[in-house]
Amino acid sequence: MALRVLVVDDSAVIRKVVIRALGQTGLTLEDVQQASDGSEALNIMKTNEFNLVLSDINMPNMDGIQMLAAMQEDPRLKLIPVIMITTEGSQSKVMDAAKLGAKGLVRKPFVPEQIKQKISECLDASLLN
Amino acid sequence: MQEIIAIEAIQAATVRVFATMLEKELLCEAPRVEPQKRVAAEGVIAQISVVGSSSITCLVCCSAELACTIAAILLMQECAGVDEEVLDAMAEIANMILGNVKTDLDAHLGEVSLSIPTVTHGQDFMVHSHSKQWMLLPFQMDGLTLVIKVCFEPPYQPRRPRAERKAIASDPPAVGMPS
Repeated sequence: MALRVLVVDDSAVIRKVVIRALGQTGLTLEDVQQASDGSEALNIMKTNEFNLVLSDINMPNMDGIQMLAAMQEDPRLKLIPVIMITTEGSQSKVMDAAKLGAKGLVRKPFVPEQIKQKISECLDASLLN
Repeated sequence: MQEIIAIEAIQAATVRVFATMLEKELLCEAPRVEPQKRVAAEGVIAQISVVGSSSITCLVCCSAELACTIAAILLMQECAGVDEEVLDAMAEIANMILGNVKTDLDAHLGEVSLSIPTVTHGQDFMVHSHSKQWMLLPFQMDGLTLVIKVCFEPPYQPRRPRAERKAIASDPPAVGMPS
């Protein structure tokens, strides 16, 4: 099954790097969309179906933690696995993200293999084959 | 926090970011002190700070040529001149370096926040700090030099409201204390 992924980061450069890394994982990608903050991501998620979100934590307007909290309030969005890709690796932020349902965290800098590994850990095998 | 711990953490994080994101080996050169508040600058400078119970400001400085090289490797595309993508790439490099330092030194730094990076591109300008000196951390990449200028500042102390300051100033000295 092909993956539909939303990449959320305020840096256009990092969105490009993450999307390129996704392409290098060997996973089949049906659709990859981008958002520059949590608020834009929520709007896109309301009108599109995704089976994975890769999100930064520190972003203007609505950060990754606030986005996770908003997703938890929505019965459909709370089912979408979210992996945080961030420089923000402090214990408190990691715990906040985990409490709000984040399935994993990849610290920047990263190599594509780390993203593939984390996706494999948090998605059903049926989605990866 | 001892400054030497922070210096080593910044060097280690910089080498790690370049090795992982750019697959480039950075050579660390010996740090040196710039004993003045103002330092001359040119090229591309990405400024980022951690602020709170500790305060560290880093300027990631390099030539326009090196900034374009870094962005080209990161984006896997040609970067002929300093444009928005090059500035964004330098901001992200600075963000990753100090973000990693913040994580690595979580226990030493206490409650701190990471600022949003600001990038400046130009020639012949000065950077001024409230601190008395800058610590310069030079690195070499493919014969080009990248310097991280680090400034350790005392934690921010908000000023008391004027009325409060006046009241404190007019308080009689405590009994038994020297006036």
